[in-house]
Amino acid sequence: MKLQLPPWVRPRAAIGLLAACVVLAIIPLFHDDVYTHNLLTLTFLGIAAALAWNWLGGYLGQVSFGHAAMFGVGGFVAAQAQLGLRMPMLLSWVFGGLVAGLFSLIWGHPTLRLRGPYFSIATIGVGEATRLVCTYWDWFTGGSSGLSLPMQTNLKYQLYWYGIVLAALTLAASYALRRSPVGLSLLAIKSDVDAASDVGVGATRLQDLVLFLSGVTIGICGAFYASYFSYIEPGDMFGFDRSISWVLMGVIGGIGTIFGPALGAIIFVLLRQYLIASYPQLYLGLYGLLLVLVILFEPLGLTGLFLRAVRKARPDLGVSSAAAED
Amino acid sequence: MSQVLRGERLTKTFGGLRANDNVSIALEQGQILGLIGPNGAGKSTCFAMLAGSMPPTSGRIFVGDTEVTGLPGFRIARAGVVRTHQIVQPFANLTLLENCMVAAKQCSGRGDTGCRELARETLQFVGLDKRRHEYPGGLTLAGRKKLEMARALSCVPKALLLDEVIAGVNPVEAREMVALIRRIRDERKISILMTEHVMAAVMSLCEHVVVLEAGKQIASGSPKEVVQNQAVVEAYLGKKHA
Amino acid sequence: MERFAELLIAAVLLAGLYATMAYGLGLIYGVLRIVNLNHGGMIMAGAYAGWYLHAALGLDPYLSLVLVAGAAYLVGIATYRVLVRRLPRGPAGGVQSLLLLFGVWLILRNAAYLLFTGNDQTLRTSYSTLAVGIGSALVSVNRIAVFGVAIVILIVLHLLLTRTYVGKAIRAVAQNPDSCTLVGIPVERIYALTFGLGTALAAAAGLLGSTLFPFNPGFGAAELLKSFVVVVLGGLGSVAGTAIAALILAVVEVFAILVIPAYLTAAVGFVLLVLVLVFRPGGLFGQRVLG
Repeated sequence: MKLQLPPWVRPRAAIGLLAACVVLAIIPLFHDDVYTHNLLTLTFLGIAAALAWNWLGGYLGQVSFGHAAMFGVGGFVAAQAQLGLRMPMLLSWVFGGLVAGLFSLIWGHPTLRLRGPYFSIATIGVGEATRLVCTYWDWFTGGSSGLSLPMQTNLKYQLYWYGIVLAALTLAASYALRRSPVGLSLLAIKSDVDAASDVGVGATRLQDLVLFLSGVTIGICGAFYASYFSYIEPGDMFGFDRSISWVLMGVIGGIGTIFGPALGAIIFVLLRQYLIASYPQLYLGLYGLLLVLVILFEPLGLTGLFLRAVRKARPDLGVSSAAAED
Repeated sequence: MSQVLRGERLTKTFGGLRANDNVSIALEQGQILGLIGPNGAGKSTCFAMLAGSMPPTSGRIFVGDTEVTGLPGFRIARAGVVRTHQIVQPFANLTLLENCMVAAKQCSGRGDTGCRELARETLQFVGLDKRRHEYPGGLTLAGRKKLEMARALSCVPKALLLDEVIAGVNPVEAREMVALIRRIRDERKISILMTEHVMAAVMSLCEHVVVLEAGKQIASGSPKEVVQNQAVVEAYLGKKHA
Repeated sequence: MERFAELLIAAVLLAGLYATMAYGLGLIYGVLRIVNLNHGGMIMAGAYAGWYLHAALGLDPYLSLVLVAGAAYLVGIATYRVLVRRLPRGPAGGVQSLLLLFGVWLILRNAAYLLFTGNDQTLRTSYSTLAVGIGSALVSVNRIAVFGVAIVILIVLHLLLTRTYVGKAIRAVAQNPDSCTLVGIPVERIYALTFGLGTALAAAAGLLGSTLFPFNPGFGAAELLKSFVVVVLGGLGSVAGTAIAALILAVVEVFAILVIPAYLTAAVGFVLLVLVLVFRPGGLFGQRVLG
C-alpha cells in the first residue's frame, strides 16, 4: 500500500517527525528516572498547547490572553464525563475537546471581528469571566475544592506515550495549516482581512475554523492534564497565569512559525521546573524580560535567532519563506 | 449586449445621511464604464456596494443574470467581480507572487501549479514578473497599484472594479496605467468599471460615463455628452460657471 | 429603600475611582493609539508604593499620593523613551506594543512578589474604620476621601486639557499628529508626556484603591479590564463621558451584589466589556475626541 503524501509535505519533514516519535517512544526502555519521564510528558503537553495557541495568535495574528478558558472547559467536561457518565478516558478527552471548541466559537465568532488589541483585551475578559463563573458553578467544577478523578495505577506513566501522540499530531497539524493552500489564505487574512475577502477568501469561516481547532486542541490538553494529575480545580485550570504561559511560549519561541512555539514550550517547562525549586516566582519575571527583549530586538524569538545564525553560517542557503514568515 | 454587472435602484443610508439614492447603473459586456462626480457625491459608496464590500440599504445587484444582493464580499469576488482599493492594500507579508496566488487559489478554480502559472502570468501582464519574489514594501505606489491589478486579475474576473487607480501617480505612470487598463479590456476581455478623479483618463478610456451628485445620478452618456451636460458642469464648478 | 440608597452611594463613590483609573488608559490610547497593558501593573505599583510609604515611613496615603504620582509620571516617561518609542506606530505595531507592555507588567508583578511576597496587603490608617452617616446609610470616610480626591484629579485633568497649552497640544496630537509637526508641536515630547501622565493616573488610582481594597501582586488585571470597559463605554470622549461610563459600571457592579455573590461581580464587568466591544465599539457616546 503506497502512502500518497500531499504535494506540500516535504518527505524529510514527515520522516523527521516519525523518527523523533520513535526515538522518544523507546527512550523509557533505557532508563528508570520517573522524574524525567514525567517531565517529558508535561513537556509534550506544553508543546501541544503552545502550538494550538499559535494557530490563532501566530498564524492569524489574533493574540489570545484567555485560552485557559478552553483548557478548563475541556478538562472539567472530560472529568465529569469520566465521573458521571463513566466515559472511557480517550473518548472523554475528545468529548471535552469538542465542547471546548464549541465554547470557543460561542465567544470567539463575534469577537474575531475585532482587530488587534481589542480582540486581545476581550480574551482577557473571557478568560477571567469564565474562571469566575465556573468557580461559582460548583456542580461543574467542584468550586474551589475542585474535582478528583479516581487514581489509576500507572496511568501517569503511560500518559507519556499519549503525550507523544498528542504533540506529534499537533505539530503535524501546525505544519499542514501553514504549508497547505490554507496557509496562504491565513497569512493573507493576518495581513489584511478586508483585502483577503476582496479576492475571494472566506475570512470569517476560516477564522472560525482555526479558532475551533485551537479550542478543541487546548480542550484536549486540559483533559490530558486532568487525567495526569487526577485532580483539577478551577483557579488553576482557568488561571490567567496559564493563559499567559502560552503567550510566552509562542512569542519567545517564535510566533507564527511552525516549530517556534514548541521550542518555547520546551524551554518554558524546563526552566520552570528548574527555577520553581529555588526561585518560585522568578520565572514569570524572567519571561517578562525575555518578552520585552523579543519584541524589541527579534520579533521571531528564538526561531528568529536560529534563522539569523543559519543565514550567517550559510549565506547561500535560501531559507524557505514558509518557515520564516512574518 | 449582456450586462456583466448591474445595480438596480441602489440606496444606502447611514443614519440620517442618504449616501446613494436610487442609483441604477449597468456595466455592459466588454465596456469600460466611468463613475464620476464631485467629492461627497457617493461614488465610493456606490462602488463599495457593487463590489460587495457594503450591503445596500435597498436595491438589487446582479452579476449577469444571478442576483448577488447582500452576499458577503468574498462570494462576489468568486462570482467574478473583483475590486482594487483606492488606498492600496497589498498583503505586506507575502511576496508579489504569493499575493496573486492567494487570489488565484480562491477564484480561479485551478490546482497548485495552475495557480502559480496564473499568478506569474498576471504579474507578467502588468510588468512585475521580474520582481515576483520581492515584497510589496519595496515597490513604488504605481508598482503597488499594478500589483493590486495583477492580484485582481488572478481571480479571472468578469468585471474589474478600479477604485481611483490613476490618482496619485506621476503623468508617465498614469499613461502606463491607462494603456494597461485598455489592454485588460482588449486582451483579456474583462469589463471595467472605474471611479476616477483624473478626467483625462476618464475621457480617453471610458465609452460610457455615469455622473453622481449628492447621492443621485444626474447624467449618463458618452464622455463628450456628459462633459457638456449643464447639470454636470454645475455639480463640479458651481452654478455661476455653468 | 435604605439598602438602595446605601448601594447607590457606594456606586457613586466607587465611580470616582473607576473614572480616574480609566482615564489614564484612555489618555494613552487616545493620543498614542496604544493599549497600555502595563496599566494594571502601574495600578498595582501605586498600591504597593502607597502601602510601603505608609508602613515604612508612616506617610499618610493621601499625602504620599503626590509623591507616588510624580514618581509614576517619571516611570511612564522612561517607559516611553526606552521601550515604547522603538515600536512601529499604527496598526502594525498594535500587537507588538501590547506584548511589550505586557512584558513590563510581568516584570513588575515579579518584582512585587520578590519584594513584598504574594500575600494580600491592606493599607490601614488610623481613620480607616471611621464612618459617617449620609442620610440613613453609613459610609466609610475612606471612600468619601477617595471620591473627593478622584473628583479633584478629574477636574484638574479637565482644566489641563482645555485651558493649558500643553493640554491643547495633547488634544491636537490625538487628532492629527502629522499636522502637529507642521505647526511646531513637539509630538514625541507630547507622546512621552502623555504616557507619563497616563501612568501617573494609574498609579494614583492604585494608591487610592489600596485604601479601600486588599491587594497583592496579581492586583491590576481586573482593574485593567474595568478601565477598558469604562474607556470603551464612554468613548474616548470628555472627562464627562468617562465619568458617566464609570458610574454605569459602578452601579451595575454594586447592584449585582443583590443577585450574585461578591466575587462574581468582577465577572459582570468582564462580560460587559466583551458585549460592548462586540456591539458598540464606538462607545455609548461614540466620541473620538479628547477634551
